[in-house]
Amino acid sequence: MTPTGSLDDAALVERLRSGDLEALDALFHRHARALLGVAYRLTGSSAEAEDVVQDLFVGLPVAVRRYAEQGALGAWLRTVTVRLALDRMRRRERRREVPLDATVERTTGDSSAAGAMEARWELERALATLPDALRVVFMLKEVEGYSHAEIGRLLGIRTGTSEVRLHRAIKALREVLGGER
Amino acid sequence: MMDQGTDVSFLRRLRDKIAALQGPEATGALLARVRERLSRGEHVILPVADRVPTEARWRRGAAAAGLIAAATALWILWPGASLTAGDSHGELTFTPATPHAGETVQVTYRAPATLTGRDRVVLRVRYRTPRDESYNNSMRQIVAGELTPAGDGLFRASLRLPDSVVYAVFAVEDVDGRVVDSHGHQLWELLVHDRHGWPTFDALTQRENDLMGRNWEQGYETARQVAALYPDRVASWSNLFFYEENVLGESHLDSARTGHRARLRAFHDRLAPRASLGGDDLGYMFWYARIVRDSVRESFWKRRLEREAPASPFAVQNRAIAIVSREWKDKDSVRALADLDRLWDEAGPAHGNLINLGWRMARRLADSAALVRWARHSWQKYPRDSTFIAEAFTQVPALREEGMRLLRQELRGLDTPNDARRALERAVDEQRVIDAASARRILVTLGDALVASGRTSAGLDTLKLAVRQGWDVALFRRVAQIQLSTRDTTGALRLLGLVAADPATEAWGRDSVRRVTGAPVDSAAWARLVQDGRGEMRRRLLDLATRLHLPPDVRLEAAVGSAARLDTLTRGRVTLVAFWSRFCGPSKEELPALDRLAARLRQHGVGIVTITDERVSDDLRRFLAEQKLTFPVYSDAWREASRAFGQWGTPAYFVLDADGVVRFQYRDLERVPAEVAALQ
Repeated sequence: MTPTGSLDDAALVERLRSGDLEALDALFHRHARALLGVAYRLTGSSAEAEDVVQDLFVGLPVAVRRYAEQGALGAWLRTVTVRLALDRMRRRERRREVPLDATVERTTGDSSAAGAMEARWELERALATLPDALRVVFMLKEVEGYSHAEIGRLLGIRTGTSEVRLHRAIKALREVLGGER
Repeated sequence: MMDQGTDVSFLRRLRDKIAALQGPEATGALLARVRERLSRGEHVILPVADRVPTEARWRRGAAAAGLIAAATALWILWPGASLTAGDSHGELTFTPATPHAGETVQVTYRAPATLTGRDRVVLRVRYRTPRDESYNNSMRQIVAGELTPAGDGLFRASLRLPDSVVYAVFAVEDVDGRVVDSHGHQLWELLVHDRHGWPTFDALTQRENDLMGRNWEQGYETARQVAALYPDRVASWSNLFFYEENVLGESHLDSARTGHRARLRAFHDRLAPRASLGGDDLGYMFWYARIVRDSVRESFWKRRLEREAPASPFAVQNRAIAIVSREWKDKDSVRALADLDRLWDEAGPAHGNLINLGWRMARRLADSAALVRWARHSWQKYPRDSTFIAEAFTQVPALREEGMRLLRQELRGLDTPNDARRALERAVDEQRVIDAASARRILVTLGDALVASGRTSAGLDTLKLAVRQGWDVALFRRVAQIQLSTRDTTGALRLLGLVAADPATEAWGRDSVRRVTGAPVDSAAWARLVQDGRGEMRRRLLDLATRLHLPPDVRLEAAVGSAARLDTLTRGRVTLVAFWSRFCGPSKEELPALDRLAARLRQHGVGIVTITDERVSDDLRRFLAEQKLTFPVYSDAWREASRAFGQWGTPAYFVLDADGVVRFQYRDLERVPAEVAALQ
């Protein structure tokens, strides 16, 4: 047997298709960190990001049997993660829950990294003030690098709507982060 | 106001900072949780496909559908809609696209070239209420209204949804019903939404029911959507498992079942302590336990269901089956029929299976009073379904006249245009072809009944009408024999020429004819008759042929882990594709005949692909060897073939032409040689 760590993604997918869960571990070690970042930036919640990525890897052994994408596996995983995160946010909207991280009280930091923490809180607070509809478009376009057409397909909106939302998101962020200039 | 340069630099700095926002660590603990959930058999359906933009589909140019509607079906594959009016496909839109029950909806239609310039077009609809059943056989189609021109090639109308309607599908056509725009057979649809803007559970369930048999793939996607939106309802998961069983196939089922069992246990723990539950919850808990094969919980919920909601549909079905099972053991059919009658008095048309079982018991006893009684029950639930009742009546002497009266009534009905039975996708002319086939079947039954009642001449005239179209060799032979008995040798020979033209009866020659007719037949004349018969066969069969194009990438499993593509197996020659299952009685019975036919067709250069519903295994190979079956076997391990052919039962046979297009489907095995000959 070839050790899974040395296999490329395509080979790992093949192994996972045949039920080899070691391949799942290898894919987790390779991609989970980046995917957690994507999920976190969209949901604004560490707990939800973990749930999203957990769900992704639980569903992966079955999903890869129908996986027939031509492109890189990483990009496909990222898109599925985005869909899962959006789905979770929709359900959150229905339950009217707010992600925990957004309500965490600021604590006084006394370490040397306090300044960096301060800046991070500032940024997260600004992002949290954006309605989900705007934040999602902003994150997908500006941070994750999706095109407006791709965002339209992901969210089920028109390309033009995506453009308008991005414009409004940037305007709102600039207002909140006034000192950024 | 900032200039462009400041804007770009602001964005770049912001982007960098946000990209540096790391999520939680990918820890071993997280992976351990993944592994633990997998080991419990948990199953998550990943949203691997995009959806079609809601706004574009429903309300072109309108933004108000909003985030809620967009998110509702975020990962659902909806039918693709053409956004611009083409030659034959227009665009139908509704405002609001997410109506409430009983709301008035503005309908706008952009007509395609085939329907522009009309002074009005007709909007036809199939409405569904929460209690409507799956499949569309007994559903009525009605005219919802007329759309009138509003300039720019648009037509408009206002439509008030009836209060009880939760789901509706639409098509548009000209006033004569000759040009139909059915959105490429996908139809347009409306789902009733709740005050939060979500499609209601009933609306989605009726969508599933409407798609049943029409588009299983979309039905499955709908079931997934229901489970995502209404995860607290047992029915959501029970329906989802039903679709997984049918759509995803064996390769997926074991893991799915384990996950569903865990979910069933969670529902059980939550619902079992409750003293009072509705009939639906009780019924679906019982049903869910049954289909995921948890026998302990199945018995628990069966007891509660029958005790607490004895007249609910699932309970009525169980009680009817219990009566028939007892009859199977004690053979006391009279007592069973009396019990079924009592159950009907108590519960009425709660479940279709009560009617089926009561009707079957009445037939077994040939009890004419009971047959009439259960026929009335059936009409009460399925008003349009009466041919099988009329046919059964003609086989009971005391009811034969009544049966023939009903058959004539059916024939008159078929002769009268009636849009209620015309499917939304179908033009009036297409319906006429279908009605003609139904009329042929009724004429045969009526003709036989007349002959059986001693009116041979009237019976023969009726049967002669039936053999003028269609292709039914057994019927040709039967009618020929009746003609010979009335000394109509010419008519009989013409029909026997058709019989001899069919490859299934090619052994028929002049000797057989002489035996039947009792007189020698001129060989040149007989050859001409058979030759004419072949032309006639080809013409009649091709009249009935379809043109179903299959997707190009259908995979089959040839052996464990090795895939074959259906198109490479079928392309370039006429091919018989047979779906079979050794776990299906009727299918298993036909396997030897299929093997003989396959061997014969192979000699004539016909391709053979047989597809079974289980994985390729040593056990399957042993079975094939024991049964001495030599045809090539492929597994529909991914259900791609079932989906492509749109078929979910066995046995089922399809004949493909050399281009890989399905020309004949769902036909009897005996008809395959003729269908192959018509294509060669």
